[in-house]
Amino acid sequence: MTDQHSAEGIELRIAKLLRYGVLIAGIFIGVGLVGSFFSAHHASSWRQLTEYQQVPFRKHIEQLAATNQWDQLVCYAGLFVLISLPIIRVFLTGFLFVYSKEKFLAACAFFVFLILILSFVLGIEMS
Amino acid sequence: MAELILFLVSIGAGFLGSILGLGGGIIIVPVLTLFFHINIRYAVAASLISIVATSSGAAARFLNDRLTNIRLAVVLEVGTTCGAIVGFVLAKFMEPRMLFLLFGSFLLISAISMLQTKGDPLSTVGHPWSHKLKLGGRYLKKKVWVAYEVEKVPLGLFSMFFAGVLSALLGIGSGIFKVIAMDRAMKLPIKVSSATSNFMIGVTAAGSAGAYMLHGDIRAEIAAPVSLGIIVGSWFGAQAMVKIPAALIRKVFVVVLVIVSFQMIHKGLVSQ
Repeated sequence: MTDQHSAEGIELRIAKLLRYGVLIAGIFIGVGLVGSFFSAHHASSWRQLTEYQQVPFRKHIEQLAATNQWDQLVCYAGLFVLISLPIIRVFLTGFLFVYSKEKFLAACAFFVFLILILSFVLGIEMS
Repeated sequence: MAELILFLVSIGAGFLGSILGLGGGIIIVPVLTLFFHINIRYAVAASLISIVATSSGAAARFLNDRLTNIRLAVVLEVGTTCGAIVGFVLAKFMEPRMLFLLFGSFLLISAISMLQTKGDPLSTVGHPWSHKLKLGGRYLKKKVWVAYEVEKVPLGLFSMFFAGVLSALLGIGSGIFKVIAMDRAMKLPIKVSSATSNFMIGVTAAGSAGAYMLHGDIRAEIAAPVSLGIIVGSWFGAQAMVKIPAALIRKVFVVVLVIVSFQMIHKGLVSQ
C-alpha cells in the first residue's frame, strides 16, 4: 500500500466514525429536544439561565433524574457523545498511525490525546 | 419559540463556521447574551459545544473530499494543545487588555495582507519536515486533483502554539489564527486551510467543553438547540464549500477577520 493510499484509508475510517457519531449524537439531542417541549419544566428552565449558578454536573444530573426530566437526560447523553467524538477521533488517529507504522505521527496523536484527557479531568479550559 | 430561533440561528452559524474553518461562537455568544440575556458563562459553554459540533459535523465530508490534511492536523494539534495549557497557566498572571489591542491590530493587518494576495496560494516546494513527514497532499479542484506541499512547518507549528496560548488567554476561538497561519506561513490553499482548521478546532474545544461540562456550565436547554442547528448547518456548509470558489471564501474570511479585529480592539479599549 502506498503512503497516499495509507493516508486516504485513515481519512475514510475517521470520516466514517465522525459521520455515525454525529448522527447518533444528533438523534439523542433531537429526541431530547422534542421531548422537552412536552415537559412541565420547559417554561421555567430558560428563566433560570439569566443568572449563573454553579451546580456540578453530577448533582445536576441527579436532580434531573430525581424530577424525572428524561428529555434533558437524553439531551445530555447526545451532548456527551458529541464532546467525546474529537477525543475518540484523536485516539483512533494515533491507533491507525501505529497500524501504518508512522511512529512520529502516532506519538503526536497520543500526546494530544493525553493532554485532552488531562484537561478533561483537571478542568482546564483550553479555549 | 426561543429554541426554534436559536436552532435557526445555529444553522447559519454552522454553515458559515464550516466554510471558514471557524467555530460558531462568533455568532452564538452575542445572540445568547444580547437577545436571550443568557449568562455569559452558559453562553461561552454553548459556543464551545458549537465549535465541537461544527468540527465534527463538517469533518466527515471534508475528509471524503480530501480537503482536510489529517497528517498536518495531527502535527499542528501538538502545538495548539501545548499552547492552550501554557495560556491557561498564564491567564492567572496576565492582563488581557493589551493583548486584545495587539492581536486585534494583528488581525487587521492580516486581513489587509490577505486582500492583497492575488489568487490562492499553492506551494510546490515544501519544507524539509514536510517531505520527511509526508505532509503534502492533494485535493479536488474543479474535478482535477491538485497536489500541494507545506512550507515553513516550524513557523506553522509555532503559530499554532501561539494560537493555543491566545485562545486560552483571551477566551476566543483559535480557528481564525489557524487559518491565517496555514494561509500566510504554510501557503496552503484556502479550502485546505479552512477544512484542516475546522478539523483541529474541535479538539481543543472538546477539552474545554469537557471541563465546562464537569463544572455544570453546559446546560442542555441552550446547548441542545445550538448543537442540533450547528450539525445541520455545518453539514450543508460542508456540501457547499466544495462548490464555492476559493476567491469567495477568501473574501468572506477577510470580512469576518475585520469584524473580529474591531471587536478585539474595542474590548481592549473599553476593558478596565
